[in-house]
Amino acid sequence: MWQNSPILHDDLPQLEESDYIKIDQKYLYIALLWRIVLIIILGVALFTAVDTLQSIPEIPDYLLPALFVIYGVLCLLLLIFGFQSVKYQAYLLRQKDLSYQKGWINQTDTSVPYNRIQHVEVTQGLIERWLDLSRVKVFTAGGSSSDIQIPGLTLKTANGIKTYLLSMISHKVTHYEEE
Amino acid sequence: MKRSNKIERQRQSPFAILVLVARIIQNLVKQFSIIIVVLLLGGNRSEDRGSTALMISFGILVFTIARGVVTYFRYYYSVSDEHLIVEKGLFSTSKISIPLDRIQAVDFDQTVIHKLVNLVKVNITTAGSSGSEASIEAVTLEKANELRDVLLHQRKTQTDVTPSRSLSLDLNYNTNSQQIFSLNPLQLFKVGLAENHIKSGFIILGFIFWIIQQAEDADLLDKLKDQVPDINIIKSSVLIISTLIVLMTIASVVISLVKTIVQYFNLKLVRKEESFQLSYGLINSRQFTAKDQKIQVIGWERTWLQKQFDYYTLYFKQASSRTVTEKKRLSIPGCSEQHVKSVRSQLGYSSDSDSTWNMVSPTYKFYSIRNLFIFGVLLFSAILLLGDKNLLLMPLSLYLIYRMISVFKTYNKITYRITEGLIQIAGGTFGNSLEVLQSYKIQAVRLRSGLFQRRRDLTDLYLFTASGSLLIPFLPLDTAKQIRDQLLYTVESSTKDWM
Repeated sequence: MWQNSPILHDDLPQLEESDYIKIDQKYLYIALLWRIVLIIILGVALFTAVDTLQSIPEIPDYLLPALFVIYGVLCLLLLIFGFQSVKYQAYLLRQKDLSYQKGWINQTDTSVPYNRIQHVEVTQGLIERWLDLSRVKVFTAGGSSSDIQIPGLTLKTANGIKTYLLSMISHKVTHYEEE
Repeated sequence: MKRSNKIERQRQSPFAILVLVARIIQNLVKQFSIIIVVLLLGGNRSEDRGSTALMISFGILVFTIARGVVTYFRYYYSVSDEHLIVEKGLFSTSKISIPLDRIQAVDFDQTVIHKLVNLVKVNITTAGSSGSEASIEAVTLEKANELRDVLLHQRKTQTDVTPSRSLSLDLNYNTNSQQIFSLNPLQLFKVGLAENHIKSGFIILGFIFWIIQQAEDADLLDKLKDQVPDINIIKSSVLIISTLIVLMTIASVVISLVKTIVQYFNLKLVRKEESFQLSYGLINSRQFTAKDQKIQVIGWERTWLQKQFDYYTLYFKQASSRTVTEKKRLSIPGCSEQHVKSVRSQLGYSSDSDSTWNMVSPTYKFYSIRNLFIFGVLLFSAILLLGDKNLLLMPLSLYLIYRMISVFKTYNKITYRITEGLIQIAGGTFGNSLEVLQSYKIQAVRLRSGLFQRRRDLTDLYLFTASGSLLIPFLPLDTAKQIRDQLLYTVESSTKDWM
């Protein structure tokens, strides 16, 4: 297989699964909140639909229970995905790069070297503020699809990460100026 | 390196007013085409209406010219302190300041109007924050060249000082530049023939629908029906329909042929210092400059048809704040294998190493076929349930067979090769494609796996560059991780500027 590297692979620093830090599990509340809102909206829609359907005599008997079963399964799936997604979101700061994992069914693991970061942002929404959570956004030149957003960090951690990343970026800049 | 990096604050050429007015009118005509059609059709009946229309158009013209003049007088550009500064605005002034090292490309455009007054339009592409692109409507070619040299930090050489008398964007190569490739008329004709004619077919269809819609808006169809009572007979005639199809095919080929010839007429690729310059165009001429440093990915591809004519389309991808679409990349059609090789070696992208091409996991085939199977079963059962059997079954089975063949063809062509500084990814279904990038220009690396892939220890590998992402699908997890660690190491230990 692929083995034409100037450095033997065993000598290369490797990303270890076990080193990843999970996001604050309080983020579960936010992950669940919008799903519950969605479930309520769907529920209201379902009940209005049922209301109008009941007045039509020709509809088959099994339709209404089937609708409720589909709705139930959907709600369950939404909630399970909500619970699981928080478990799989994790990040890892190394000396020279940042990695972020997410996803339960489809898992992604994105790594951005510090010397490719364009800028860093810390944001906090209304509900996030109530829970003392915030998120770090890391922007690269690779377009929005390669940007990293780590949610579910306490404001202190988020600001710490931001300061660290910024110091790593500016370190790079001074390094270039010396040349 | 000597840099004369200052350009006085100045306006565009006064003829810019002409260009601006022409562009505003063009936009107006585009937006109000329906109204104009209605006015033209209905205006003849009474003289009153005709004179009102005249008055209105005169008013619009005066307004447009006034707007063009104001825009011209309010527009300044200058270069100082390593920044390009553009001041503009009709009522409020906006000042855009772009750091020179953020500028990715400086391109020239020449429309017919530009050609009349010997001017060029300068487009400046930046990386990073969107909305910081700038364009200068009309300046002389001399000033445009000067601007480009300053913006792209190109050294001024002795030979450059004597300006070429030619005022067109046609590239004249002199001692410090070297022509790599040009398209002669015969090659251009071949390129046109091998174009994607289906696209032109859709353009024709779109055009027909547009005409019908416009006609409906103007109640023309009703008028037509009065004059041609047998319109329904025409509609149903098989003979006429088949004639129409043949005509449309011919028209599609002719349209794409003409389009290609007009677009790529007199194409030239020139190597100048550490950049490539490309120029082409019959009616609207364009000239592009791609600095080696700013090129993120190069690639070449050919469709099945282009394979028969034995040529490749070479392309450069540059960093851009807009997402790089098909349109945004710099394409050079009609290249032979020799030209591709020469460009590669000029860029230092050729790999002499005899490492082998690696294939992705055969599970790729299995996965794609399985998905096709599920898709097919769902589709067929839906059709059977609906009871509409004969009409759709044939084309659908044909489509599924076509997709099946595509899967095998595609699988055989996806290969990758990672050597010390280079990543090469080959692909294609009925044609071929290959993309090459330098490892240190990678911005981020991502592993992505679905449930199906994880059960078999496989993963997709995405490589993000400043001009889009590249994908190697279905890699064994160990290999993918190994590649990721290697690439991260290369990027992190690199001190070279990626743009």
